[in-house]
Amino acid sequence: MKKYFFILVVSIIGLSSSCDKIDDPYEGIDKAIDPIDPLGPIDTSGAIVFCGFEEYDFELNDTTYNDTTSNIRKVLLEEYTGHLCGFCPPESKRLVAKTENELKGKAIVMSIHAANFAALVNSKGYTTDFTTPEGNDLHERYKGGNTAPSLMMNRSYTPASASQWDGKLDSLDKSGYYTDPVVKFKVRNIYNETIKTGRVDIDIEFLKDFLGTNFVIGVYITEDHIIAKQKYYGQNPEDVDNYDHRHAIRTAATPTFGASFVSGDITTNQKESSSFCYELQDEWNPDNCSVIIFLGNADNNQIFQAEEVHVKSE
Amino acid sequence: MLKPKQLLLIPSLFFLTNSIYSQSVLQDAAKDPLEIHGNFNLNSQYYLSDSVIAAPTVAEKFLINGYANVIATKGAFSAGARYESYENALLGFDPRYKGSGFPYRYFSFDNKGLNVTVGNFYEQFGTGMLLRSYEERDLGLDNAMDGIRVKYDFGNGIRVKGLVGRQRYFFAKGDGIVRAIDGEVNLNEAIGSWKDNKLKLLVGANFVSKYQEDNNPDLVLPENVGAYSGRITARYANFSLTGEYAYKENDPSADNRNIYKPGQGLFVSASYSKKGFGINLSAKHIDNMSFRSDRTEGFNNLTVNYLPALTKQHTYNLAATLYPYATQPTGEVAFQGDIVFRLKKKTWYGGKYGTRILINSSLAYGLDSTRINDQNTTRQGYSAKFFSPGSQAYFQDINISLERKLNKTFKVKAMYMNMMVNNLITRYGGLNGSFGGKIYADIAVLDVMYKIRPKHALRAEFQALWSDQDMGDWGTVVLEYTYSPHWFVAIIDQYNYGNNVEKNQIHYPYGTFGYINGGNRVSLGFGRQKAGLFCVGGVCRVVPASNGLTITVTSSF
Repeated sequence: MKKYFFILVVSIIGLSSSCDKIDDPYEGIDKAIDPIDPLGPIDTSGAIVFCGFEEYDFELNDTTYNDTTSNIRKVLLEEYTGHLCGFCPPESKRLVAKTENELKGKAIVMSIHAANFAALVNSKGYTTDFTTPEGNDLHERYKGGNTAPSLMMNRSYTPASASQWDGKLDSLDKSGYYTDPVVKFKVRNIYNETIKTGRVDIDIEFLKDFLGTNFVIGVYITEDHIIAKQKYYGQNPEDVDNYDHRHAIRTAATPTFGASFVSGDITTNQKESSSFCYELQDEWNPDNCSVIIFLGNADNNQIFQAEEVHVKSE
Repeated sequence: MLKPKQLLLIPSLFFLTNSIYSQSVLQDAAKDPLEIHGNFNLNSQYYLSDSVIAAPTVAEKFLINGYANVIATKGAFSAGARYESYENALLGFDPRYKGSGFPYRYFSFDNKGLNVTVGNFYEQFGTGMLLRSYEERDLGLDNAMDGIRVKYDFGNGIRVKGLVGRQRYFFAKGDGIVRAIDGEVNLNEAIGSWKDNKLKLLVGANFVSKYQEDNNPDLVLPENVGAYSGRITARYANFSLTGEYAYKENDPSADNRNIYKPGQGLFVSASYSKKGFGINLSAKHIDNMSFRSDRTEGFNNLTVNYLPALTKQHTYNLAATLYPYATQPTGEVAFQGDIVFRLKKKTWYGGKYGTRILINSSLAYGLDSTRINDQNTTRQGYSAKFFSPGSQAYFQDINISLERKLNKTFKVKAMYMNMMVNNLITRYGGLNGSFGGKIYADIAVLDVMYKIRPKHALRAEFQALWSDQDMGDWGTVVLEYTYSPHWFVAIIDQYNYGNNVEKNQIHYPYGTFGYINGGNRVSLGFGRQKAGLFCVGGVCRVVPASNGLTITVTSSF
């Protein structure tokens, strides 16, 4: 019997030593793998994009994911504004109220702070810089910043003055725009709080044929409810310290006018996918941030469809 | 290549084997008769194209999975082999099951408490949390070991098992070597004064190690990964308690995206039963416990361990194939409770023959965990609180079933299920694509058995599933006529009448006809089968849609 116990002990010792504990996975290796992907457009080419994520991030408490599928054709409304634009606040509030009520689920708003109205005037307390390279590009192209408040709809014409907004939106509605989607968007957003990084996966199904069209995808990040100073004519004082700035563009994960997506002839029901990474800065509140996605025409920048998904689950 | 320290086990096991083997075994065996047993199974299908249900086109038209086991025993000796044939494998099975051959063969003998097996074998330690080598043919899962196993029963309640081998990988073997040892002590047998103790205690412990060469240029990988566990089973009168805790050392793999965090798992189950009443409560915590002999593998391939499922395995078609839950080896916290009781017969509430009621509920959550941003340093990946459910609910199921015999000819079973499956985790995709979010479903079943006359029985099943997500509402009707003991015929139609995509509102009719005679069973089936999941014990296989003729033959001898 002793013999068997001896054999057993030897076996256990042999097995117990069969375990390698690794303290440094990169010991002797020069290059770390899988660095967190930088902010910016990612050419997925069908490959999985991790953005510094791991698949198990789905299961982590500090990771949220948000999905949306839309069969409605949504319009992207880009409002030129600025904290020095004293006429802008009432028009901006009116626009946001309209999109939250009669156009709920049909319109997406982004606010572009650009040109002179967005300049910093430190001596008067206008110290928040709302400008972005993307906003500057858009102003450069459409000149909307000089005539704020002004509004672009799907980047389809020059920015319209506030008196024209209702009429143009009514016309859009009467044309049956919202009920005639040309593509179907399915968007999944994953955001990790610890690394303040998100990934948006976009599945697009074309609902009609397109001939020789070069499509781009745009992915923007906006932040809502930024409290900062704003010129507001009619208020006393006119310089309002705690103004609620809505839907301000913070950054983009794509070039301003979109990243190349698909080109050529597209057939009905054709499905395409893409993914993009983004990173939030520490001073942005992720609870108030959204990802705006649009599909556009590379040749004339006009937008076919847009979608919005919150960075964090609501 | 084995390192010297791993080689320690092999001579030990051989030494154990040879030293106690004696000629008397041969002499005893000569007196015993030779017995030969086995079984045969053939599953085949002739596939028709059916674009409506997105059935894949099958170039071969006809596919077949078949196998035969033959086992010969003579006294203490046993030898067996299994021939398998996949010409080619049925849809839904891994196409690497291709061709024919003998992937399973073994020889074993017993002698005075010693059992030695060389060749292929299946084995399980405790609940299987660290080692379970098994086959589940309907899943296409077979992780049989090929090597040497030695078991020794000391005869006083102490039993020891040791094994070394590689695992089956389709018609080959995996890269990794598995070494394992398990000891179990029945304290009531081992301690004389405990023999008649009302408290029955069984304790066990095991150590499992795998070896796989580090060929990754970007990371230093552990070539030897060790894991150990301890378990206890206690019984006292009508109560019983089973528990196992397992810990796995750093095991970076494709499953965990190469993180070095150790894994751990705890499984606890308590039950109480008396005549007409039983209750069982179970819970588990699983954290990074995927354990394969090849760190690069996926699906159900080369799994060393088995993580017990804590969800009810439904048998009714809609619940079983649409939204079953697969255990998440990367991490989950799960709970399950079962209550079964019988309403007294010959009462107004129990009816003439009594009524059996079964209530079951299961819940599964992700881990309460936080990411650690150490991807370029220690690669621990995340931290998780022990046995604390996270914010993400993965699955929940509350169901109740009632069975009552109404009279000598009618028997009724009714069941209601309320389920939620988080499809971001299970990632099942049907005709509508993969739904990204939580799917809520209510399922009702009425199962009626009518004995028409002796030997003739008719069974009808009516199922309905209501959901606002994914593919919407379903209805299923099953009619089955049995002429005992030889004949049966059945038809089933599943109808996805509530699909919000109109073209996907499809009927899936299927009919079967069969003959049974002793150990032989032959059946023919024809019709559509919807895409779905097939799960056994929390391990699942995706079943693609198909249309065609199926032929099944089984026989045992």
